[in-house]
Amino acid sequence: MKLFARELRLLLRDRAAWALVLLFAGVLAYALWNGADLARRQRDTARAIEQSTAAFDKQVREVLGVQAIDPRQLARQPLTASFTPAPLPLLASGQADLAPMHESVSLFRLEQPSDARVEIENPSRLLAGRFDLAFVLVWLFPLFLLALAYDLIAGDRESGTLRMVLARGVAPWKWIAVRAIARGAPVLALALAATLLSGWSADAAVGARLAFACAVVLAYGLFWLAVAALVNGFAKSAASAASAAGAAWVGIVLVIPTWLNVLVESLHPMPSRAELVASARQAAGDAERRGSELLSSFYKDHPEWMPPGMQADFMQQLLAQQDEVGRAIDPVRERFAAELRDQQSMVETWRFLSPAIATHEALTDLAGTGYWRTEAFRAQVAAFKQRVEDFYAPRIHGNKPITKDDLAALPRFTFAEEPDAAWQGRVLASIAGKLGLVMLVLLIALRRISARVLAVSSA
Amino acid sequence: MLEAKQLTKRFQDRVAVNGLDLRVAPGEIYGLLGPNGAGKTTTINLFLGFLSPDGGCAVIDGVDVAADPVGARRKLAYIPEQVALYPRFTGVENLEYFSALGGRSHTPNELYELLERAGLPRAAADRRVGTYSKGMRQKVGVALALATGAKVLLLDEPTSGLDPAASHDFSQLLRRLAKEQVAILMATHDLFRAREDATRVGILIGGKLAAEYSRRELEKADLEKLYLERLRA
Repeated sequence: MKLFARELRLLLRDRAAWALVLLFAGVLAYALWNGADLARRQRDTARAIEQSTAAFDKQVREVLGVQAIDPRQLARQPLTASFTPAPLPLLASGQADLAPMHESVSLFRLEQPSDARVEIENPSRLLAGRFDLAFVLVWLFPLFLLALAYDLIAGDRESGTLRMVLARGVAPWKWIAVRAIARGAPVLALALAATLLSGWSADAAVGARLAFACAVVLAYGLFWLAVAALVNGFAKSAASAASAAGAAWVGIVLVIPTWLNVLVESLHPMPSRAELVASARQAAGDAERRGSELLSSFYKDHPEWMPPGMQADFMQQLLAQQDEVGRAIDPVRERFAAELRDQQSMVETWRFLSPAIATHEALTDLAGTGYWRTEAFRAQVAAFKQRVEDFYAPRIHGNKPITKDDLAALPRFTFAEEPDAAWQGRVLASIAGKLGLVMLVLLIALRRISARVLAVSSA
Repeated sequence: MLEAKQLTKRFQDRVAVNGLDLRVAPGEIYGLLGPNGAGKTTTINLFLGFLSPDGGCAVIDGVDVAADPVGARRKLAYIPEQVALYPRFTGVENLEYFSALGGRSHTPNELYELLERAGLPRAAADRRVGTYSKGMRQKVGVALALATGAKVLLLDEPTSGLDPAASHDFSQLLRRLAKEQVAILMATHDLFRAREDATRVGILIGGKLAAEYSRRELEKADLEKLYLERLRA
């Protein structure tokens, strides 16, 4: 501990170190402020949706108290499926700035508009997203760490203090480990403090998520300190150590994620969005032209919904057309979903090629703005659309009014969070993978440093 | 005590130290002379454990350096030709830092006293080392050697670049340490200092000890003449 304090004092005697630490604090503060803005907008949106849903519910309840309602009238009103605000929106905006916070669900809506609005792309693309805390932690935090720790021993080797230090009888690995931690401590402490601060305005109990987020940040920081140690094992001077550290940052944070993104998109290309929209339009046009023929065919499939005397109205025809459109574009939608799943699966498999990817995935997962929670929302919205259809379609086809007895069965959307164990398992795997990488890099670094120390000290 | 037994070190096809047998007893100052490339610094590095020997062994106070380099280093103090210190620390902070690395803890007063014993006044001790002259840095190195309380002292060209007064002060200090039963091995080109201070002098040529002279022999002979004769032989 005393050695740590001395190393820290040595570091803080350097004005450049103070400048770096203050700059990093400023960058973190800006990222948190940026995230707070997104979180506020999400909260406001959710509150507004909640209020309008409650008002609509109240209105329906009052009307049903005195009279039955034609299902066509009620089904025309769009229902809003609201995405519960993320547990830690300040930590990572993730897909929150692309995926919608709510979806408008109506029985009478052709399929393509809602899906076309949603940007279903690979999450790794989001690495270049908004200037949020995750961006700072994944991209800039390693740079600041390396700026303070790139010359763990390279500078001492040049100045000759390395021989003086080693002659004191200190174990090289111990001295370098303490120095690395001391050099990284100010930036690491700020990163952890900012991570904890990201839970400041969270609504739900987020203690466990914050603890996991701190572990993710700590493991990522340790990885970069291990990289600094490795670089010092190879570099002959402080200048070459700085170049090597910079190259490591570019490779791990920029090149590998970009390369993986290109690879993922080449192996699992997303179908054209234009194809989805065009096929929906074509299906809608065809369905309109086929009109009553389509309705007859529909009732052949659903004889239980056939109205008495077969006198179909406009809405019944529209439902039949919509069913046909859905059937026509289902294969395209399924291709989108399948490619997206494959892309995500590939990213999951190869994320440890770059701890930057693994860290970003873990942080967005913890923030509740990652792929898994967003995908869960999409799946639940799809299920809700089905519930809406299952509720209204038979009543419209059967000309069956909605009464107060149906009140409890009226479709309402509530987002169901996945069990804690699910995200905990994914994040734990990410932390364990990173710690494994830390051990691997340290192992190579220590072997290299021991050999290096002996060889160079003799010069 | 410091001992080399058939100590050998090769760099590819060049033999830097060739079966060196050397023993420096407590209270002795051994002056190791030799031309550039004779193997003086390699010998010091072998005693420090910065190099592994290809044959024989180096022993510091009973500890085989190759087997336990860290343990051996804890038993010695080392002053190189250029005492490299951290320029952003003051003299006393450097002393405290390097002492702590060796597992030694001193009060601030003890640190100032050590620096004063080494010839560095308190006012200078509180200045950043970046402003120090070579002689002042050398004094911090001496204070560090004093702080360790080691029974073995390795010196590699310790008086190189020092002015005569600083060099004289350094000699006085070495003699005091020898009286305290410290075994001192001093690799040097400074024939005058070797003759003045050493209790024994060895001339290393091509990694081999070509000649060795006792204090009594040195008093009777001209060391420079002996040294040049050995070089020409």
